[in-house]
Amino acid sequence: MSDDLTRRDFLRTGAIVALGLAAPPWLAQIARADVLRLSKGGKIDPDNILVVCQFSGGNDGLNTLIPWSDAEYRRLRPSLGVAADSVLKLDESMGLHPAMDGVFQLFKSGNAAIVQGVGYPNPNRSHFRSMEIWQTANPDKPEQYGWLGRYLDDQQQKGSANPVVAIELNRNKSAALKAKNASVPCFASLADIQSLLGDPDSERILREIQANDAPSGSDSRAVQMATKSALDAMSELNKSVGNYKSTYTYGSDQFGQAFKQVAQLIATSPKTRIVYIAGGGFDTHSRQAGQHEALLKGFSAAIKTFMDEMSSLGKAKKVTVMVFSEFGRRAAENASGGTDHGAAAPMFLFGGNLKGGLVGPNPDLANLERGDVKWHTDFRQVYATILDQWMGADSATLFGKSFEHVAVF
Amino acid sequence: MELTKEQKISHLLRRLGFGASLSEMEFFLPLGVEGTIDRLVVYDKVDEGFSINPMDFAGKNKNGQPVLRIQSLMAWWALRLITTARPLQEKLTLFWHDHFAVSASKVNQAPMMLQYNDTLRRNASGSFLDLLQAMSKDAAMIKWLDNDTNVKGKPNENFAREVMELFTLGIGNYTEKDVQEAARAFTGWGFRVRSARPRKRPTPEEIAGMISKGEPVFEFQLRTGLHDTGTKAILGSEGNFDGDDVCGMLAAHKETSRTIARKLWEWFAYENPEPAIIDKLSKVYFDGGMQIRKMLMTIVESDQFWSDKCVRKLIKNPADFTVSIYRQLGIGVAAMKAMQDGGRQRAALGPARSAETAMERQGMKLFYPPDVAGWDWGKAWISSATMIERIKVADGLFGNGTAAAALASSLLGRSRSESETIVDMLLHLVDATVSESHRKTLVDACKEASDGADQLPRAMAPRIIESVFRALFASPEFQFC
Repeated sequence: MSDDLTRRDFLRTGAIVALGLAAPPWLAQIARADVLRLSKGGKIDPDNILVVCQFSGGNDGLNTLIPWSDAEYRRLRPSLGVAADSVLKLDESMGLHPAMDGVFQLFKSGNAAIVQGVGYPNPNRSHFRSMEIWQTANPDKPEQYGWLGRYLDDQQQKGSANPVVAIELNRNKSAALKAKNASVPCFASLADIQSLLGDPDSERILREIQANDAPSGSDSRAVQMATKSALDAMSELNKSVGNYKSTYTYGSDQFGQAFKQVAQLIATSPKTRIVYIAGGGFDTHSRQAGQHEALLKGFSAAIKTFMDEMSSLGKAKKVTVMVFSEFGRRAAENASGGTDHGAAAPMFLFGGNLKGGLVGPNPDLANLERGDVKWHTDFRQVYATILDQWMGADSATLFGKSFEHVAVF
Repeated sequence: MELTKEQKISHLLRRLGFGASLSEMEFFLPLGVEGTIDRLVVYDKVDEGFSINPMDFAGKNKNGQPVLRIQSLMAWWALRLITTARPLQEKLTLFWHDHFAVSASKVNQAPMMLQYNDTLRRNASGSFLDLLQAMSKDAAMIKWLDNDTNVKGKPNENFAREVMELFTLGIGNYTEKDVQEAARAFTGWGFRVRSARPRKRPTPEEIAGMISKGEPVFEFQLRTGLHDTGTKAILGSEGNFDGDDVCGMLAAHKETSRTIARKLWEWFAYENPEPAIIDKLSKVYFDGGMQIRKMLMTIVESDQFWSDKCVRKLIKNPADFTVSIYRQLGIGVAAMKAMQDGGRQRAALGPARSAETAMERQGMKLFYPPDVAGWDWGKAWISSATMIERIKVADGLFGNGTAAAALASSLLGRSRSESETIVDMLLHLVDATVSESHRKTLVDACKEASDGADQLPRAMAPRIIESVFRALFASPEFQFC
């Protein structure tokens, strides 16, 4: 015990990091893993997987995680408010939208953590700017590369590049995964991977035609990188992905289809550590109730089935799912049965290795800022927690400053 | 390097149109560069050669009444793209569809989306103010950005915000207060279905009749009782402004001229234009009465438009990529001919749908921009997912029974069956330039596909062309126009 403490103190001073520089590479790797494991909490593992799920359009946090017993909620949302008796209650003040039974079950079994009041200083109400802020983790100025892209660049520098270490299931790559050197493949669907490569000659010709690397940052280079990363990922995944047969049934909605493929990837691609998916339709300015309910229902069913499938694969403790949206919505409903762009909202995390529960104070609806819920947790605190305590990265280096962790692991 | 006349005309066709096909080159070469510019830009005087009405592709509802669906509308526009003799008109319509992005995902009514598309086309090269006002009163736009639920006392900010952020000024050039006050000016704006009979909704047949005659199905409606007539303070002015006033203020704003200047230049020339270019186009915007056509003429008359930095340096968007190939292979014209000869509307539907699907898979689904900001351009078109789709365009074209497969036999049947000749002919056909080493790779692909045979049976033509095009479509050079 005392040895451990001494060792931990020693590690905290960073002395071994300095030592690591002079040590052989394999020792440096071990030392680095030790530093992270001991100084930042014990959940880091080289096999850990992060699934990021983006809700595009600005999800209405107040009708997702509902302050059901707050009279102010009823006053702000006379028609859009969810009736107290139908809310799936988490405690005496907060509860989930009735369409979220799957999330409710995950919460009860300790596999869901909900961080409340997440936002950033000077909230921006533009979809595009706010999404960019979340994807690049920089509210102060435009940033060229995404927060996960910078992480992947850092990993690549340390020599752990693999063509399928990160994958986006989307037609266009999101800014979060934009990297300087690391090239992240994205696929509209996993079926695409299996259909392109015929015989070895065809792959050889497709590679040959890419020719020598064009200058870094050029448009031609972007084409080369995209095609090469497609070919690399395909030759890596081609054999395994198609052979997997899931016994779980997912919904036909966007989230059902996305999580079905995430499960397929995780089951068949042991080197994949980051999967990014996105779903849209959350910009509910009018006639919100039905649309929002359908979205939450689809997502909730999908995440529950996905976690069940992970358990059956023995991967539940290896997966953390992080859900975010570019902003929450205005506390008061508008005249169109909808809500306008807002600010802070809760963030959902799922996984078998989480400390489940609600994190942070409930929204204070009597004390709004320009009609919006105030933020008290910077989204970069959540990112930093995941990077440091789950992925084994050093968020302070990636973000240029350190953020206090949130208690989710 | 000084461009030849031929190179100049093909550059014009790639940028002001959808690629240089052999038949277009043959037509435009005798007109010269000036003549080509004139005919492409002042397109009103050109017969479009497209007289297909969307109702020609309409289906029937369960009562047997005609109904126009979005799917038919998508195919109809795709057919127009691959056949039109006014390519710039369609390229501009697509530009404005991206700029004033409205998606059928929410509007979900084909007649409304058609009217929106027609309004964009009608105003595509005229005054920006006219276009802005027409868009602000367009039924699809009103529905898309909730202006129909924006009422006195309870404003909905959606349209007011996006009209400033995305359609005119750009972010940072207005305040939250401006958004709230402008929303009040647009209160009470709505639309209704036109009907010949008072207070009666038109029947599906009547709606079909209106569409067939090219008449609008919807009209703007100001519900005066819901309009806020109070004083508003917008962008430093105060008054009892209504929506038209706000459009006028926004169109006359310096930042709007710069937004439009930048976007036009980036769509037609290259990304990140020099400040002097923006200044020049912004001045033309004001001097020329906000006429888009005058800005286009300034663009093609700029030295930079003809420079090394521009020619074959713009990343093709999915329409540039796909529509060009369909035009170059003559698929649209063949489809129209089959349709007219046989009197069967369906003959054109297959090729139109396949062009539309290819664009959709590359990330550009017509009538469905991803959100109100439209599509991301440039490098954003290129991802591993979309590159796979670009390569697969070759598979889709030359599979069994497709229009291009039939063309392929006649193409190769006329040529000598040598791999080098075939490759050069195919490159010429699709206006492609590749390095010598890439040409070798293509010859290699051609040989692989023909199993080394000296004499190629015509039946192998589709497979050979598919292999060469697969490699060509994957090449970095072919992604630029």
